[in-house]
Amino acid sequence: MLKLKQLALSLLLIGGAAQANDDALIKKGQYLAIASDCTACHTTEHGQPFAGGKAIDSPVGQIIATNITPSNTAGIGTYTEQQFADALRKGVRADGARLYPAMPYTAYATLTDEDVHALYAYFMSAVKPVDRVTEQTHLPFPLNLRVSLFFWNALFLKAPGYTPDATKSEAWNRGRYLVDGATHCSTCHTPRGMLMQEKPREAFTGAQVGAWYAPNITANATSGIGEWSQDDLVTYLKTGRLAGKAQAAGSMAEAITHSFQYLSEDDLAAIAEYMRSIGDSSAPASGSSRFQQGNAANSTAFRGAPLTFPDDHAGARLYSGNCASCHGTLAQGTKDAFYPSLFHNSATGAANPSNLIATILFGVQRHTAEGDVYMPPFGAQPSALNHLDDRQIATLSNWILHNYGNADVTVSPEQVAESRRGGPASSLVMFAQAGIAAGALLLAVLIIVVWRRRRR
Amino acid sequence: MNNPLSADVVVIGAGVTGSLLATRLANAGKSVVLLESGPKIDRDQLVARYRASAFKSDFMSPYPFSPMAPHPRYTPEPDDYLHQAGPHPFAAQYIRMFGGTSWHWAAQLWRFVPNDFRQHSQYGVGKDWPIGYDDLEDYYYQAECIAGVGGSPDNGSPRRHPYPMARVPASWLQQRVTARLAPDFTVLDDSTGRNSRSFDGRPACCGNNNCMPVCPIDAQYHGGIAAQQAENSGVRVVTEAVVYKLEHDTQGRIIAANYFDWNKASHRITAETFVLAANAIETPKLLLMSVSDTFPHGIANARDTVGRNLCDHPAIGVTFDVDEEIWPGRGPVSPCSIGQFRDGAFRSEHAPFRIDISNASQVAAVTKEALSEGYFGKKLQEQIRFRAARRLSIKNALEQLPDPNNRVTLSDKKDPLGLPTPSLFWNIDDYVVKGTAKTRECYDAIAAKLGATNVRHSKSGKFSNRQHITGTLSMGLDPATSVTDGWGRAHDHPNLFMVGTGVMPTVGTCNVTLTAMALALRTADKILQETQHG
Amino acid sequence: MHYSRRRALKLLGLVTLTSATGQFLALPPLKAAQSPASPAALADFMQISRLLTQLDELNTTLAQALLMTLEQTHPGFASALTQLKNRLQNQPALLQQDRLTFSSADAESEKIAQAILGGWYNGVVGKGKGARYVTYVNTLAAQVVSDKLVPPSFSYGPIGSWAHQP
Repeated sequence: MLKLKQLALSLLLIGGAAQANDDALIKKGQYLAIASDCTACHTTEHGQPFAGGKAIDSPVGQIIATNITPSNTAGIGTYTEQQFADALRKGVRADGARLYPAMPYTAYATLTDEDVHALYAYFMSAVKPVDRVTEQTHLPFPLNLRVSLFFWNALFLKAPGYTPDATKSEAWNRGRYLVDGATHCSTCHTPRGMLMQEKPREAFTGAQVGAWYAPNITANATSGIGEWSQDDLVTYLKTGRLAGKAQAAGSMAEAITHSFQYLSEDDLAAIAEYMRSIGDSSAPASGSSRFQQGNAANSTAFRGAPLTFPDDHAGARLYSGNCASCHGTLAQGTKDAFYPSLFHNSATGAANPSNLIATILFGVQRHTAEGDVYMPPFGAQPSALNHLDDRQIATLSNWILHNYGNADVTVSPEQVAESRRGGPASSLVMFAQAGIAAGALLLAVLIIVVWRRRRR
Repeated sequence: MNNPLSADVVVIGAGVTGSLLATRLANAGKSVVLLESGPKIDRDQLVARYRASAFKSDFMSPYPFSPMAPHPRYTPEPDDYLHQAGPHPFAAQYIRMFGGTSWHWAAQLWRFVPNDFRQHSQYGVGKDWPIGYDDLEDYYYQAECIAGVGGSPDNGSPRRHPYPMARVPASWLQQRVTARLAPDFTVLDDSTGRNSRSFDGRPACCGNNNCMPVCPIDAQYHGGIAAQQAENSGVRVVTEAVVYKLEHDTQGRIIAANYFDWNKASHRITAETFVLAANAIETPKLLLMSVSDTFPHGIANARDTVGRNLCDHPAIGVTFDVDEEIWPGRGPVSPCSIGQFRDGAFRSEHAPFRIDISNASQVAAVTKEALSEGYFGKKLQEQIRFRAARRLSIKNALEQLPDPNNRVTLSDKKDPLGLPTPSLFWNIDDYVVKGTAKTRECYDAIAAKLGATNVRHSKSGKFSNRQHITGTLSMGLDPATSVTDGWGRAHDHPNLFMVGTGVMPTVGTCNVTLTAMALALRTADKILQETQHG
Repeated sequence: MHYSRRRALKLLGLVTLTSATGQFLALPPLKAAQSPASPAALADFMQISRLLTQLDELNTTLAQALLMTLEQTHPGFASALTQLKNRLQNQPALLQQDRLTFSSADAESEKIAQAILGGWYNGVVGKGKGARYVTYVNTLAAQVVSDKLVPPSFSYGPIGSWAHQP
């Protein structure tokens, strides 16, 4: 009798301990899911968590994120841990089809087996299953042939896991593990080659992401964020802004809102330490950074003139009517930098005006512990009456750049139109189709030549 | 299509009420054309015009004046668009433009109190409405959700649902005044359509303190937003279209509206249903212009009721310097008020009123004042700082009783399109005068509690207009004393409806727009119900 | 008297926009029909302005704009300015009281003094139909309260930032 009781008790204790371990594992998985920002793609604006359905704009077309809730019929409910790991780190679905690298499996390949185990536990037990099947992705030929990714992965995908660098500190390694893995910074910030692969020798030197530009975040003082301190970078990741320097918008604002602001102090510090060790071999030897451009204007510089047509002071008037209320008459912003100044601001100081144009068109939306940041869009506001057309946005951008930003940069209405459409399209599809057509033509010619020879 | 020839519904006037009604009808599948006499102007142009104006205290200065769709102007000199025929000038101010007059308001969106609908049965004065608070409660809430309204829930208007928008935080001025006037006076948050968070694609208020004349960022709801939403919902808006005549058939059904474009070319549009939403002065004008053999006194006017019972909230004010620095000019311009004199047994004796405490910057006003007193140099600076920090400006809204002699008619003058301009007869009754005496007592008590100096009451016997224009298209059960029925339908014309503040038979004790918006949504539902084909 | 308000303000706009880089640039070459303030008139205007405002540092670009607009809204301004200058120099007691109290014989001078002060403080010159906007955010009135207030139509700060004691 006693033995039975003892057995029951020890089973209970083991069970309890196992439960406690399970809880800890799930919590760890949840933290990793936040760090990996799965929700950014796999949750729609008003949808259930991780139920998919969001159409992600890529340069080759729209890619629909799938349902990754543990639904047996519509999600990953039937996945084994191996299948989960393969999807995450090799870009292979349970049915054997390849995933498009819009899913950053090239980055998640860095995740260790233990972390994958935790993520699996989280997704399988703590996420609510949603039985809604998402739409299929339809990319133009030949990219709709997922098998082509077999070759792409062979060229560009690394083996799974992370090997620490013994010569570096623990924090540095943790930082690199996160940056290369969960937070997948290079998928936006590293430029890509012809086949849309990241170019490792230009890591973190900046790349176009749709209408936005993910800037150079190397530690170079001219081209990157070298002038930022360790604390600066941590502050930026936690709050989405750094007074007198930069603020996050577009996908980065989403990343701050859903992911970075929840990371632990240690992890943020680790990321910062790693990033501050990244060099930029192609940076100019000297010069000013994108954070140092422009300055406050002379105090009488801002003045209205009567509204007359044709409009000689269109840039100033557009600024006065649309921007000055929040950003100030001298573009100085508010005293606490809640509304940032437009000078000493990377959005206006950068050599690439994409972010200035995109900010005007699409606005800024961020939600952090500091509160709700909302700059309305001026491209297509649903309620208010301020739609600015391409010409107006170009005029306004040029006025801002000239007076407060990088005076060497100009914006054309065509650039604005392209931004409005979602950014530059990729020629990959065109080249692939041209390549296939050329190949087919060559093959046809060969067949004809051989057939004619045979006939003789 | 620039000049559509027909639609299911034609709405005349793209102000807030016409636009809300048009949106609801379009969302239900109706084809709707919205005709607006004035132009469509972007907000950034209005802001730029404001900044370049030499008359910043005139709230009309950002808004362009259109000779083809004229409206009253008072600076730099009064124009003669309105003819004043009565003992008190009715200095109406309205904007004929896409979005209408609520472009330059402070987004005050109040519900009536229940007794406002039945003042005659309760207090033996004025008129009862043909409907009650309960008929409108649900529509009040719908309108509040559209506009994003927040405020103090304990203000005399019962609510089934909480406010959809959290309150806008009170400025230091509001906090100090509230603390010091208690317990004799209870200062409440105003009910306003102002964002305390980003909502409806519009940012939260950031304290531009420019609500009147124009919010630079649309943190407050206004008719321009309503009109844009109408357009986004598929309503075909035709601007620069001045309707000058309604045509009818032998049954009295309205069959067409005729309008001039700004090149004076005439156009004609037919519809199943017509809705007039051109404000409480321009709609009567249109009705009175639409004469025919059958209706020699105009449409909906067989019993000479159109344009009568013109009411506003006559207002008196006071300014004084408080004994501590409160610094008006931080945050929204109209944040709070005293509502304890809106309802009570006294309403059988004298006019009820609401007391508005302004938070608008006083810098320009005190600067002019100090300059006119001859100050200069360092002393001028001291005086400006001293007064700008302490100046409190208070005004009220007195309920005026409907008087059929107060009315809108057509004058003998013509505007550039050859259309007659409005003539207004307005008088102030004893009910209001007794109310002003009570108000002055309150003002003096308030000044005393705030240790005020330099107390200046507005001129005795003179009233300013609050621009809450009602009565001219009154709804009522008896066609002999009203123009429209309880749904806003013209008594003699089954397919002609009217919305806007003109259909309100009494003016109540609060700003009238939310009530007009609720009525418009209710009228839209009625139209849908009647024109749905089963 | 007809003048081109549009041209005057267009010119002022050019002047101020070219000053945007923080450097004062000379006025651009003017069309023949326009008569800019002569250096002597500007010097007089600055001196009188300093006396009336009791401020040593006054923005010269704004002064030029005000002077030009005053000349165009007040007929005979140039001579009235000289007269005022003489009054103030001959009767220093005028500037030693709290308020300006000129004798009735000097009513013209008083009006001009008021117009100049009004221009600096309110940014508007002239009255009624003749009123002209010259500046809005750079008025002395805005400056006097700038530690507490922002001119209307410019943001104070995020929602609720106006709740604390100024």
